[in-house]
Amino acid sequence: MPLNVLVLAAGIADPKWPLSKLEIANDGATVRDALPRILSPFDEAALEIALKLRDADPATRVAVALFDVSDSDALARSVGALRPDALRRIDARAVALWDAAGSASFFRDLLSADPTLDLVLIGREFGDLDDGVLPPCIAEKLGWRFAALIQQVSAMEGRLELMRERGRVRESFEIVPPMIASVTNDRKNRLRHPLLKNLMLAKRSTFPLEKLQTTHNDLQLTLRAAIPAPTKMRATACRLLDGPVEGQAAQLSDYLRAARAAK
Amino acid sequence: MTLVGGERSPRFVAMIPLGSADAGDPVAPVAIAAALASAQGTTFEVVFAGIDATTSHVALALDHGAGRVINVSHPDLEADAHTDQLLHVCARALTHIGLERLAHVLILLPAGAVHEEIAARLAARFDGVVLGRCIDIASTGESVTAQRAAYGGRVHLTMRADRGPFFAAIRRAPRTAVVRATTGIQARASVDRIDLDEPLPAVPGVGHVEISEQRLPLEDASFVVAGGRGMHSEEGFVLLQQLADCIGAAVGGSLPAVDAGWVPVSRQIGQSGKYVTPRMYVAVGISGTPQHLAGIGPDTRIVAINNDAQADIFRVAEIGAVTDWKALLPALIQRLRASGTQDAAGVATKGDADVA
Repeated sequence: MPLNVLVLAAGIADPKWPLSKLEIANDGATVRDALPRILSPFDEAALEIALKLRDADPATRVAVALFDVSDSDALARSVGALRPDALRRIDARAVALWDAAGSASFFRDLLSADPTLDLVLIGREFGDLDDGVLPPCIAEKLGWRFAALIQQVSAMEGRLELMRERGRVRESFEIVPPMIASVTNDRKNRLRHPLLKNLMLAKRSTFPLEKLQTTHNDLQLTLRAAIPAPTKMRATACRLLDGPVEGQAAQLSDYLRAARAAK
Repeated sequence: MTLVGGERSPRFVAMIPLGSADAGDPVAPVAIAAALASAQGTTFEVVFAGIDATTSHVALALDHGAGRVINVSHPDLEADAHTDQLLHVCARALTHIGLERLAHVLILLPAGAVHEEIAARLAARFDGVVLGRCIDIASTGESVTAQRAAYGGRVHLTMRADRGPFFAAIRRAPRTAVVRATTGIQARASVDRIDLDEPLPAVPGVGHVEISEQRLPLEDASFVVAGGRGMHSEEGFVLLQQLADCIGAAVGGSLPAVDAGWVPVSRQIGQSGKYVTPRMYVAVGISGTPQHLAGIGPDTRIVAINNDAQADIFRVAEIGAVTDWKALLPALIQRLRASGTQDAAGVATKGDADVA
């Protein structure tokens, strides 16, 4: 069954860079970090699942809506190199992504514009500012079926078969489209490497930033502060073991046994 | 937690969904609702929604001074219900307390994937505000101010909303809030029971396959052994499991270890994975990023094994070994086995653990 799949991706600030320049606009409706963007592991997992669906049925269409906050289109090029059938680079500053319930209406309108959509895949956390509540809010606003923390999707006879692991149980279930699935990372959905020729093609392409109508008028949750998380640090220095490995093993063994014995 | 009094008393509701394998910590929302209500000289309600609440559930609510306890249940709901059906019962419970007519209600749920999904969908359904997984929450007059993590745990956002209903998930109660509310109004609690009888929403049939591992669950373990990118391969996790067996620990991993397929996603620890509060956490080949440390309770003692002396994990560890785990772990396992620590009876659960 050919599907019409949309991947919502947001990217994250590259964690290799320190968060030194985090700014909130005076209206509490925009946050800027001026850091290079990369795809999050959850974006990558969503993309890979979509590409696998297209591998299984070349008639399946994979489109990507990439919510970007950077001035560079480097992130879009990394997605473009995977050759989705369509790629939109949307200015994420139009959406207050920390305000999931408020911004869900924006996504409802965006997704409703394509009535042929079968499946929307979105990372379990959307970008840096969502902590996992945006995907279910979007599904609820659309009135679509929602499945969380999905690891695999396949299509069969007009239905989608989904798999996820919860605790000691692997769950599989079938849903008739349309639906939204939030995707979590898994060995089986690690993002493939693009072909070199496609990388070169993407490097020569440009991906202009689309500025959609802002949702800030619907903002229910304003930002007041964004500060670096307090660093966890012990009051006393870590006791480092020394000497040969055998000696360290003996000390550590004694330490763990003592801790085990102390109820 | 910040407690701020206000002129207009809001309504505080701790909602505990019952019927999910993702149980979460029901104490946290009840303790915070109690503390917020106490600071404002008002009472709070506890709503158990799903299957029947146990006497210990009701005792939890009453011990914290709840003014009203409501148990909304459906006889057809199973102990591990589909989220759509649990959501339906939660929504009906909120309708029962008159949520549609109330703008200024703060509804607190235990953290956890299923509960956070329910909080989000209830917010969308009732035209409310979802605050996410909160670290701190305060109520002033008709406004609610909440703090939660962003940027993978590297940043704390402070957010304010002026119109509710407000929905928040609480991962753990600050120590100051884990007390019986002894100030404020101590109402004589009533316990209302409501049995729903309308059909539950139809849900897709779910096939369950037991994953072969019969290991200790992370959530209940008082000892956890975890590996990260520095393990380099799945083979390293075989050694971690052997170490875990020696000390009665559960095995977990950081996000890169899950990404690499060395440990299942259900055992991921960190900002986007499980939050664990063991007494002891043995981190092997884990650098100690804020994203990972966000998944470990503040009272947990950490043992670090890493060959990089500059790794941040040593800043939070009580004891550490700057060495190659490939050399240390076999020697450590041999020592522990020789000392007879390998003992199935040594497997400890939260019953003997310090609960953060």
